[in-house]
Order: sequence, then structure tokens, then C-alpha cells
Amino acid sequence: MNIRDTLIRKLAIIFPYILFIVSGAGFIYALTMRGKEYAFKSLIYVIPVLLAGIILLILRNRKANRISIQIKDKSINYVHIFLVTILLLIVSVIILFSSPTRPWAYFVVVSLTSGLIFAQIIYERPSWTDYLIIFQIILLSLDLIWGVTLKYPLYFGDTDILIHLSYVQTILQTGRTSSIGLDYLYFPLFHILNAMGVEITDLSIKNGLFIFFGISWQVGILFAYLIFKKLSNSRIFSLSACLLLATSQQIIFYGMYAITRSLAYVMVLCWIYLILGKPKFKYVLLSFITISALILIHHATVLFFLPIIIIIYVFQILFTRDKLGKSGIQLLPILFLTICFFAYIFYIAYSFTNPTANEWFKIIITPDHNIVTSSISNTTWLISIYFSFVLLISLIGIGTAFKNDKFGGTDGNIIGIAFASVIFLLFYISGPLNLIPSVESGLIYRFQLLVAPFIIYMIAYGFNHLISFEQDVRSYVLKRRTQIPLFTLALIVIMIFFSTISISNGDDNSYILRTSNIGSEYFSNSELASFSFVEDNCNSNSNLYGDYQTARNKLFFNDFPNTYEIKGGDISYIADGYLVFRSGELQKTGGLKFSLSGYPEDVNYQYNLENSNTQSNIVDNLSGQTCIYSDNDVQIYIINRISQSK
Amino acid sequence: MIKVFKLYGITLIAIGVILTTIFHFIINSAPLSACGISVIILGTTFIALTKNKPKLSDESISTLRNFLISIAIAFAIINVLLAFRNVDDISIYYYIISLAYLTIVIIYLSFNPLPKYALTTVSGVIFVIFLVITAFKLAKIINLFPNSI
Repeated sequence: MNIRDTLIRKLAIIFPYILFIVSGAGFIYALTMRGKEYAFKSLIYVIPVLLAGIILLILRNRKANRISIQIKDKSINYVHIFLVTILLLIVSVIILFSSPTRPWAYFVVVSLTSGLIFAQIIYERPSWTDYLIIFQIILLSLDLIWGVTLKYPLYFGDTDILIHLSYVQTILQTGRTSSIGLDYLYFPLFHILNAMGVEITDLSIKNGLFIFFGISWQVGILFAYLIFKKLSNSRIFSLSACLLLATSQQIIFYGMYAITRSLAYVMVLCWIYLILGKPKFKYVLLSFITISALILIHHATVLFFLPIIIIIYVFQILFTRDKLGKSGIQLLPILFLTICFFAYIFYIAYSFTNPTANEWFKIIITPDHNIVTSSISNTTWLISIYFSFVLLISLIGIGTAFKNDKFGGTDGNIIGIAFASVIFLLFYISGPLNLIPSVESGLIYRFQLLVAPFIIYMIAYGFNHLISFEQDVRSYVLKRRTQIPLFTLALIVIMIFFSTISISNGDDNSYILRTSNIGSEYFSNSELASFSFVEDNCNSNSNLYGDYQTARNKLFFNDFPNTYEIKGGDISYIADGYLVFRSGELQKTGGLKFSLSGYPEDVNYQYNLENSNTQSNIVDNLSGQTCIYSDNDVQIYIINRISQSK
Repeated sequence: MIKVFKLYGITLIAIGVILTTIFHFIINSAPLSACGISVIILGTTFIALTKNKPKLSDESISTLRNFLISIAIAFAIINVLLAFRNVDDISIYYYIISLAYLTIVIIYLSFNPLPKYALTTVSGVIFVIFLVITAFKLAKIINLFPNSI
């Protein structure tokens, strides 16, 4: 036995104890440094880590080389499960149409659908049904994505979509990319793709963007399936990993968030698939094309992805027996991507790189601690529950992978990915990342999406072993082998439920919107009508004031160069200009996002009417101004204190 | 054949080093310095092929001729084209030469994976130098070493 094998075997033994120490130390740190309340909150991560350690101790005598399990149960017909799944999918679509916002029932039905798809995956069935399952995963993913982006009049997520829509509009109007902003002047492929799609299909820009992007996203999910299949060499395992990926919190969010880095992520998945395993000529050529597309779509994605792929490669070299790379990641394509990327940004996109690199460097060396504090305070229980599931199952997966005595062969890559996942977990879990200064402005949060496939791979591995463990426990306790792993299935359904409502995934639900203390992520029809009014009737040289979402609305206000965010309820500082007041949004969510500096790029805060005094009550302050447009949701005021004072 | 390759390699590296030194530090010509660098890379490839794991037989080494010729031709074309475009930055030459080398290596290895160890090693060395150049380039952009007079 060589040093590597000895090291892994010893690590497999001590890993559960490491988890105990980490969870204990984390809790004590939270208690002593941050107080009782913080320590109580930390339990949401401490308990899963502790639980994972206990389960790993229980599982320590089990062989861990079973990578896929198939359930045999003659009392249930596969066709019936399939039909019920399709029925539930139809029900979820009916709920979408019948309700103005997505109700709780929708999330429950979607989670149950995922559970049924998982049941299909582990059920013994003919291999051709894999295509049926992939089809259902795609339908489910489209249900979740289009169920938001096409349901609401204009979904904008975190407002970046509005800027990209304005770029697509500019390309369509001018027929050139030279008039789009410097940020994407050298990376215009996303906008060109959408502009072409809109031109060919004659769809509206908004519908075109969301429809094409939704379809492109499914390509990414398909490639993820192929990656899992190549890594694990098991169709059952790769299907379950594919389902877990398609329903994971980050994948749902970025599937809706149709922006450049999301499309770049699809290209990343394509590229990973092409460079896995022995190089084939046709794949090599395709990988060159993919690299070009990837670089031309988004700059930062490549920059953030390079360390991830290097970490995986290093761990693969250190711990995997398959050093010749029969199914692993190859080095040369990584080097090629790195050189291509830096050559492009330093020599072709220099006018973009020079100011951006300087700005980024300044942010990194001068962290803004205000942002860190706000990130921590915004972390709600609802978000963390999904991540506690992720922690629990992925740690079980990692621990089981360590004690996998079958290093070579079909699941030879698992050790390398397991080691890398330990590091990746820190970036994937919401919380630890927020302790790093400048996590927001340094864009470090973008690692979450990029590491998702590897974390999901370990989660699938964890579930795989939970199923076999559950079956063993049942056969020991009940003295008979129960075919359907109900406990694991329930765990999956609950995890996916929390995934569908975590972070911004379920913010359109009225209850979540109220409790999450953030604004809506879409504009209503009346808001869009008011924006059109401003666009058509207001002088574009005047100042335009609005809340964060309004000020960032480049799709409508691209011709208004002087667009500012309202600083607060006291609007006496505004000398002249138009003010768009979204009173409906204020009523619905209880607040509006304003900025102390008046610029949407700076730190924003949530303005609440309930916390305002007479001086800072925006409704009272606006009552004396001339209203030029009013409906139930939006009022547009014209402010002209200069002529008033004269 | 291996001895011949070793001899070619040493000769090319020696010539390359002399040419690069003269052209870069004395004549101060980027295109000619790039020619010197290309010769060094070619020489390093020759030597690396003799050290491949598993060792290459005389017969398999002779099949690498086309690969080496294509690298030499690619380097020559790149240097001439960039020189005609009046490119005067040695780092641009290096970036494009590295890309061309990696492209040819990746394509060649997809047909014949036998010299993988040798060619990956040379690519790794090229990459390390690339990283150093990139680090300096980045330091210049973010003004890490401002001129202190």
C-alpha cells in the first residue's frame, strides 16, 4: 500500500471526528465571539455537520463502492410513476396560470415531481427510459425557469437583465455592437445571440431573451448529465446527479437570471465535457470553438473558473489512480484556455481590462466592511435550511468517498472531486463566504455557481449511500427488505422544496417577499406603462429619480443619461427633474431600495415607510409636488424647485 | 535517432539563447527575439522527446517529424505575420507562439498520445513563463510598481 492509499484510508477513519471537532469549534466560536443569538443561529450548520459525522460513523463498516442502486418492486409499475409525474407537472403549470404569483402549492407540487423523478431513476427499468427521465428533468427545469421569467410582465432578477436587454435592443436598432457599453464591447456574443434570435423569430426582446436562454440552459443541464456519466460511468448515478443539479438553488436562480455569466456557465459545462477523458480530434476542435465562445461571452466567468478547474486537476493528480486521465480532466486544455483568455483580455480587450483590473484590485485591498455586515444580517433561516441539507448530504458523500477502497476503476475520479469539494463547500454554503470582506464587490460569490456541479456530484454520492443504508436499516429493524427508500425520497423532496424557495428563487411568493425584506424582482404591467410614459413624454435631458430598480432600468431609460437613485424619504435635495415613485411596490413589500449616495452602483438600503418620521416620509413629501402620471401602482412627479423659488 | 534528437535539441537551444540575447538586448528587435524564442522552444521539444516516459523507440520518434515540422512552420508564419503588422511587443509574440504550440500539441496528442509526457512537460514550462509575463503585465496595469523618483 503506497503513501497515498494510506493517507486516504487514515483520513476516512478520522473524517467523522474532524467533523465533530469542526462543528464543536464553530459553535464555541459563535458563542464566545458573537453571543447566544448568533450561536443559536449557527446550529443550522452545526447540526448537519454533527449529524454527518454520526452517520459516517454508523456507515464506517459498510462497503462504499456501490455507485448506483436500483430498486425492484413488483407492486409498482414504472409507467404509473411516469404518468403521475407528468400529471404533477401539468398541475404545476395550471397553478402557475391560475395564480397571480406562485403560491406555496406550486413549490410543493414541483418538489413532489422531483421526488417522483428520483423514484423513477432508482427504479429498475429498461435503459431506454433514461431519455424519458432526462426529458422530464428538462420539463421540470423549464417549468421552474419559464414559470418566473415568462409569467411576469418583466422579470429582472437583480436588475442586470435590464442592462443586457438594453444592449440587445441597441444591437437590434443599430445593427452593430460598437454602441453597447464598454463592459461588453469586447464580450458581445450573448447579446448578438439574442439579437439574432429576436430578429429571426420576431419575438419581443424580453420574450426572445427568456425563451432562448431557457433552452440554452437545458443544453447546460444535458452536458452536466454527460459529465456526470463520464466521471461516474454509471447512468443511474448520473441521472440522479443531473436531477439534483437541475433543482439545485444556484441552477434554478441562474436559469431565471438570463445574463452573460449564466450563458458562459453553459459554455463552461460544454467545455468540461469536451476535455474529459482521452482527447479525440473532433472533441479537440469543438473545445477550441467552445473556448472562443466562452471568452467572447463573459470575462469574469473564465477568471473565476480557472482556479476551480486547477484545484480539481491538482487533486485528481494527487489522489486518483487514473493518472493517464482516461476519464479525468486533461492539463493541456486548461493551459490553452488560460493563455487564450489572458491574451484576449490583455491585448484585444485592453481598454476594458485596464480600468476594470485597477478597480477590482482597489476593492480587494480596501474591503468595505459595511457590505459584509449587511450580507450577514440578510442571511435568513429560509436560505440556510437548503444549505444545511447540502452540508449534511455532501459531507456524507465526501466521507464515503474517502473510505472508498476501490480507488481505480469506474469511480476512480471520486477521490479527487471529494478533496476538491471540501474546499468548494466553503464557497458554496451561504454564510462562511460572507465573512470574507468584499465578498459582494469582489464578486467572490460567483464561485457558488461554478462549483455547483462538483458539490452536487458529492450530494448524489451521499444520497446513493443513504439509500443503501436505509435499505439495510429497514431490513435489520423490520426483518424484511423494503423496496422503496421512503426516508431518502422524503429528504430529497424536502431539500428540493427549500432549494426552490431559497435566495431569490421564491421571492415572487407573497409571504417570502414580505419576510425577505427585499424588493420584487419583476415589474408589473402598470409599472411598465409608466416607464413607457416617461420614455415617450419626458425630456430625456432632465434628471430622472427613482428607486434602485427604476434607476437601473436601462431598457426604458437608456436615453436618460442623468438617472439617479433616490437618497431617502426626504426629497428636498432634488432641485429639478422627474421622480418615478412606485407606490404599489412600497405597499406590497413594505419598502423601496434607495441609495445614500444617489448612485445605484453604490451601497443600497431598504427604505421602510413604517420606520420613517415626518421629515423622511416620502409619501407626505411628494404630496406637494406636481403629479403628471398616476395609476394605482406608480406616480410620476415633476419637481422644479428652481422656478418655484423664483 | 534519440542521440540525433538530443544533438538537434542542444544545438537549437544554444543557437536560440544566443539569438535571443543578441536580438533582445543588443539589437532590441522584438520579431527577431521571437525567432530566437521559437528556436529555443523547438530545441526544448527535441530534448523532451528523448526523455519521454515511456521511452520512445527510434521508429516512433521518426513519426514525430511531421509534428516538429508543423511547429517550425507555424512559428515561422506567426513571426513573419506579426513582424509585417509591425508588432513590437515581445510578449505578444510569446503569447501567440505559446497558443500555436499548444494548439498543435493538443491536436497531435489526440492522434498519437505516446509523447504525452514530453509534450505536456514542455507545455508546462511554456506556461510557467507565460504566467511570469502575465504577472508583470498585470502588475503594470494595476500600477503595482510605480516609478519612484
